[in-house]
Amino acid sequence: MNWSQLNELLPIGVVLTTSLVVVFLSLVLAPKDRYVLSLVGVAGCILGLLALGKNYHALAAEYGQPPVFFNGLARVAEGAYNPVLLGGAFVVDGFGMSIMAVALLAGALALLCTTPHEDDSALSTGEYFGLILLAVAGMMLLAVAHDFLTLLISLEVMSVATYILAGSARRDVRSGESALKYLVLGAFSTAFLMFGIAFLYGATGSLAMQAPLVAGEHLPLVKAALALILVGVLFKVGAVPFHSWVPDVYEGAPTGITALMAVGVKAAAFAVVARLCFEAFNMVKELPKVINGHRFIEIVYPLREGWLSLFAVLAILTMALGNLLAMHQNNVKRMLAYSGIAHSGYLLLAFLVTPKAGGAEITQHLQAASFYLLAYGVMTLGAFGVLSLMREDGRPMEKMEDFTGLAKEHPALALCMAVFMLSLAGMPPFAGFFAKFLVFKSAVSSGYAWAAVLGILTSVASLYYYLRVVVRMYMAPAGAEGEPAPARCRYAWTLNLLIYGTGALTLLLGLLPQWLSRLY
Amino acid sequence: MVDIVFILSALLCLASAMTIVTRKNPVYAVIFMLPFFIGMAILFVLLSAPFMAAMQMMVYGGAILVVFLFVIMLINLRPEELQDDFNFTAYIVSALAGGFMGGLVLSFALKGISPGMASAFEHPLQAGEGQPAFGSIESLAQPLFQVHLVPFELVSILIVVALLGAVILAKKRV
Amino acid sequence: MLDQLRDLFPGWLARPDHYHTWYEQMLCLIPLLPLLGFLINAFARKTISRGASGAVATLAAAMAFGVALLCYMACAIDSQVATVGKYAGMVQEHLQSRPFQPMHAFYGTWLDVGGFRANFGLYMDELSGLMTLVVTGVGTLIHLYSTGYMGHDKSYARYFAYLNLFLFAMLLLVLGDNLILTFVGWEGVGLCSYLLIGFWYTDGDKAAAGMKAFLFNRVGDLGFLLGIFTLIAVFGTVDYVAPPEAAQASSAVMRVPAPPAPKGMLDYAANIKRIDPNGNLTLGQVDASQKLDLSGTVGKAVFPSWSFKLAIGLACLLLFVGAMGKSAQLPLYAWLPDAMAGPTPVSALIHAATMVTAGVYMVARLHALFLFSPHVMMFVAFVGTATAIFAALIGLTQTDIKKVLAYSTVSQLGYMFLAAGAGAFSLAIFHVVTHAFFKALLFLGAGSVIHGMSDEQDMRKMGGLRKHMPVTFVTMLIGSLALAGFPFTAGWFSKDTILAVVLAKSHDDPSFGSWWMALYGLGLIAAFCTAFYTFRLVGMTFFGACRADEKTKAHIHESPAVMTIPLITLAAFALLAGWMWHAFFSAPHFLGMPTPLDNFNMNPPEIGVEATEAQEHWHHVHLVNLGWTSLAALGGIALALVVYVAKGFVPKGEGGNVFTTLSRNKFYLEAFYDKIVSNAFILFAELMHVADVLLIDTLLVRGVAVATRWTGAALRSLQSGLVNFYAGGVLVGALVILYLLLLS
Repeated sequence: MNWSQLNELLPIGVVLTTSLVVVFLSLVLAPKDRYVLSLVGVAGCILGLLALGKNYHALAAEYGQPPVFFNGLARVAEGAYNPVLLGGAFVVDGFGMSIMAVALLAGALALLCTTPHEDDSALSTGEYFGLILLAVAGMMLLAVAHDFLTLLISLEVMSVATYILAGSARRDVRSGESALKYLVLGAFSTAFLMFGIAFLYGATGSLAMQAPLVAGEHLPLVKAALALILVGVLFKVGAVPFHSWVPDVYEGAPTGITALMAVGVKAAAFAVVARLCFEAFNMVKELPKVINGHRFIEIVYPLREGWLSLFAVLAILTMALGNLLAMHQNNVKRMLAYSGIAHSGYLLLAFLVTPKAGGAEITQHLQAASFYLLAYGVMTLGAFGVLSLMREDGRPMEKMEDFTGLAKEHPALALCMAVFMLSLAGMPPFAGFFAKFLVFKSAVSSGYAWAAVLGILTSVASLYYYLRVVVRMYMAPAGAEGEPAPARCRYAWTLNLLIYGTGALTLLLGLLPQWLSRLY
Repeated sequence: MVDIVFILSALLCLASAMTIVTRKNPVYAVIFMLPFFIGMAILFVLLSAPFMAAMQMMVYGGAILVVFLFVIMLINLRPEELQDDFNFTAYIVSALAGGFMGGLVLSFALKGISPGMASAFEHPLQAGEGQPAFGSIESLAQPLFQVHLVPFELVSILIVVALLGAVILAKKRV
Repeated sequence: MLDQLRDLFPGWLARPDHYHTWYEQMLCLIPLLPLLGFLINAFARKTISRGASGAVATLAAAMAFGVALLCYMACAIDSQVATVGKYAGMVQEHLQSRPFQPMHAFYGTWLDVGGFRANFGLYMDELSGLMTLVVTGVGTLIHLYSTGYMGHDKSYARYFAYLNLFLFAMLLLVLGDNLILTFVGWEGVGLCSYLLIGFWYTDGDKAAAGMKAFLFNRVGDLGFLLGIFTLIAVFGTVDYVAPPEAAQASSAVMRVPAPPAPKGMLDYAANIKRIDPNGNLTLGQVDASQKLDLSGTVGKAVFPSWSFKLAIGLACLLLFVGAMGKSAQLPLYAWLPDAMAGPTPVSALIHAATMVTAGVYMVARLHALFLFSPHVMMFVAFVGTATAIFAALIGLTQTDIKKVLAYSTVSQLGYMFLAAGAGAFSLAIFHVVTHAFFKALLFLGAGSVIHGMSDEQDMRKMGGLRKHMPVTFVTMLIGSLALAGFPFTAGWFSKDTILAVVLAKSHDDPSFGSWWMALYGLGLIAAFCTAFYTFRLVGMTFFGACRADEKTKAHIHESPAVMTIPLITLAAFALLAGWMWHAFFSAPHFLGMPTPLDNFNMNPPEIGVEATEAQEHWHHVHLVNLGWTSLAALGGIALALVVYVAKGFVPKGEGGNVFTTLSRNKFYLEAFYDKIVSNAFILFAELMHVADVLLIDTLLVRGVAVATRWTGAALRSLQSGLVNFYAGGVLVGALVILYLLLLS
């Protein structure tokens, strides 16, 4: 074990430390000063992002590449570079770093969505903010976890924290219901995951991510193990048969926490899907010939072949169901929950690789996936941010009608919301367009053109419900009594700033998708 | 002899687990956990893991069971609230799940287990040379404190999360 | 810092050794000036005065036109050819003979991810140059007109902001040097069209019309996007032509994996044509032929053993579906008549002159690909003709002045696709240009009429306006003559030549000869109908007695000068555009010189002073056709004049024979869309809703409720019942996955 490598985990350390600072700080602060806590937490997230940037820069410098934002994993696969840390517990690569960045952004938004003055006072204690930061730390750990035990514990850190956070608005009945459902179903899915890990350990005696590589004659058991692990992960992602918790849980949780779940949890879970698909589902076969003392091996992908059609079907079902059900929602939060399911479906398309895909192809797919996660994260966070500002007398305003005439009252917020909606629908020139474009392109290039066709069809249909919000804000027909009542909105400069930032980022990622990868 | 003990303790486990799930009164359910834990401990002994068997009895049979009982008594449910647990979704779901599981088993029975799987069951992994004996405390300690030290340490974060969560949920007024 | 900026925008901040010509640097001003106008009007709309916002928008359009004209001249004038060609790195063998040296400006890499790249680059060749001139030229006139027409509207600045944004998107569509940039423009014009149709959004119907246009367009966009993916799969690039040197130099900073070969799809297409004229090379053979480096493509994974012909044909078919949506062809035409809900200048600019011709432009832009597949070309021609005749028949009975013009636009777009399908892409563009002039003129004239009639659009309540609005009357008469195809007007030149080409095809094309004859016949009937409904419009509006009520009658007035000046300018073009076209694009042939757009035809004309046999034949066909088309046009005009001017007939709008009923009701196709198609979609969503929620809600929850009531307890288990069900779903899903994988 090389402890000096702990430096790679500095961003996680920063977040963990901040969480403790926040908890202890709350003990000495007067209740009216508690807004400082969220700012301290955000400062921690920003510090974490800076540390991440520094590490990323060092990574780029060390390997002589200009920016290697996206392709760490594939390079591991190619054996070009070994970022495995602490005896294989972590792998801090470009891909993991991009997921960490998304998690940090989600955490910052979740912290800012709660301001102490107006909200349920339970939502503004040090423990609440500390838990948000711990959840973020769990997501970041999950993004770089590289053996199954670390994976399990990181997942639990993330999940347990979000279960409690979902139920933290104790005055709201829906919040408690949301937490209970999430806890019960989440524990249920984690059971599958643990079962799978136990099977894997039983079959191979190893918990390393590449354990299935040496499955040998225990292959069927390993297959069963990976299927069970996949179930646990797909549950967190919200893919179709495991999606049913999403709408209820997202709707009931406090809006900031919903954003954290919709973006952070999903990104971290997709990091695990990527590691499973591209690292765990391989197998080395030793060829019976030795030439000049070199043994020859062949990497075969028996597991990957089985997954592909399954993934394609799951992706299609997820996209179709998410989009079709989103059309019926009159509650914007619930609509965003269903749209989150749909986006999970699009993301699954990025994991359709040809069975024998090499490093370069995997890189392309991973680039598509991480760009999608980043773009989806930015625009979804923004949308939830706007939603959490929509309040009247402490009552959340989440209905479609509540958005009527927002453009007149709060033009900047309405503009941002319109950008988020159009981007989620995949309109150019916003980030969502490129994200979808890359994902569909990678599906086509793997020969899954039919899946891409269905994906595009559903995304065309999705425009219908996203536009409803825009139409409400900008073009609400005057009611019988003349001018519609202007939408009410509270103002919090930090959150507003973050929303404008995500709005700008949504546009920037669409106009200059290259920009991020050159940021060093 | 070993087979008979195995079958008996396995049956004990299954029967008490079924009883736990189907009891209306949570106190009864918790009480039936005891035979379940005992059965599990016997199974551990049969697997030549006496340390695990002891842990099972002490931690689960001793500590956790009692905590459960305390909690149930603190909640102090009235008897009429315990009556209406009946719902047939549970039966539908169990039927579906049982059907699929049965189908899986049936297909194994009809098609036969693949050779790979059969050998997986017949030849468990062998401990390498220089490794501590299977089931000993050393063989537990080595992975826990050496190989997987990092995840072990990570559990501390999980405990902090649980602690903060308990504070949030238990606080009366903030 | 500067280095990093250079890295981001290699084109704009190139080091001295990469300087391009001034004209190339200026090319980006053409779309950026309207964008600037949009930004000013959008963000300063509360602070600047109404006059200023109109002036900013009009000036932005006019300056873009000026820059476009300069750039176009720079490409066209011989003395510039050498410099432009040298620096732009555009010296390519098959372009050498062009009398027009294209300009290709590169401003930076836009996207370089997932093994594929797209640039910010603008490309002006004879096609995009001409379109740019039309878009900015007509756009400027319509901006000017709008300052008068929209004078009373309270959202003046918002209107001009949208209009400028539209110009920006349209210019991006036209000038973009790759399909992605074109697609961004394509979606952008769709968005602006939606915003402008629903401009008066307080009226629910108008907002709904905007939504309808947007959704119809998205259906087409689906085809377009799939077409792009197919082309990426075949060629591995989205560039039309190879990017200039600067772009290739910047690929030195490329990362893993290796970039696709820096060539454009049209270059590839030309090479494929050279190796195998029929495009029958299979994708697998390409490496062997060595002349094409398609190593960067993924085509082999997607189309394992297809020939290029087949793969490109599929792509073209999909792209054409996109064109059908944008250019309102059957069966996706229904949004365009509804789009008339927007302000009239918008109808003139977007829904007549520019946006709706984007589909034609795209087909012409990719003509080298469409030429691979005769069947797709034939399909294009069929759809075009069917739309032309169908819309013309509907136009016969409409009574709303704008609706008549809308259906006429749909019909004329059909002619353009007929030309493209016949392989005469330059003629399709010719018709785009002339149509832009006369249809914009007619719409603006109609707007002037509506303005004078206090927003009355029903022709049955007009009549006798020629005395009150002389300028509008004369200019609209000129526009109508052009639309009807009266000899020596602009419309006559373009429509007549299109039909002549179709007639020639019926002699030349061995495989589809008789089909072309049928198309020609239908085209002639459509021409007759066009002439008839056009002069029906003129007759009902300007002749006879005024049928308006007294209040409106007292208010009728000629429009102000800002509105009549564009009318007069466009009228001049409607008369002269055909002659100008011949002067620049056709007459030099007789002197043995090539002209721009020659390369855009299936069979480039044989150039020589002496008449060849083929030319003789062509002249003969042309002459025969001239007789027929003149007969159709004059016959239609005469009949309309007899019925609506001499007899003063006014349709009642109900009853009549079977045909008028059908025509008035648009052959019930739109009702079909409303009732069946949209309902089917909603029904499907509804079904899913039923399956996922109602099934759980009613069946299970109610079932649980009934069961609980049965056992005499309250509804407390409702929530837990749901969670149980969710958990059951997870369990069943997990078992299915396990089952599939273990037994696979």
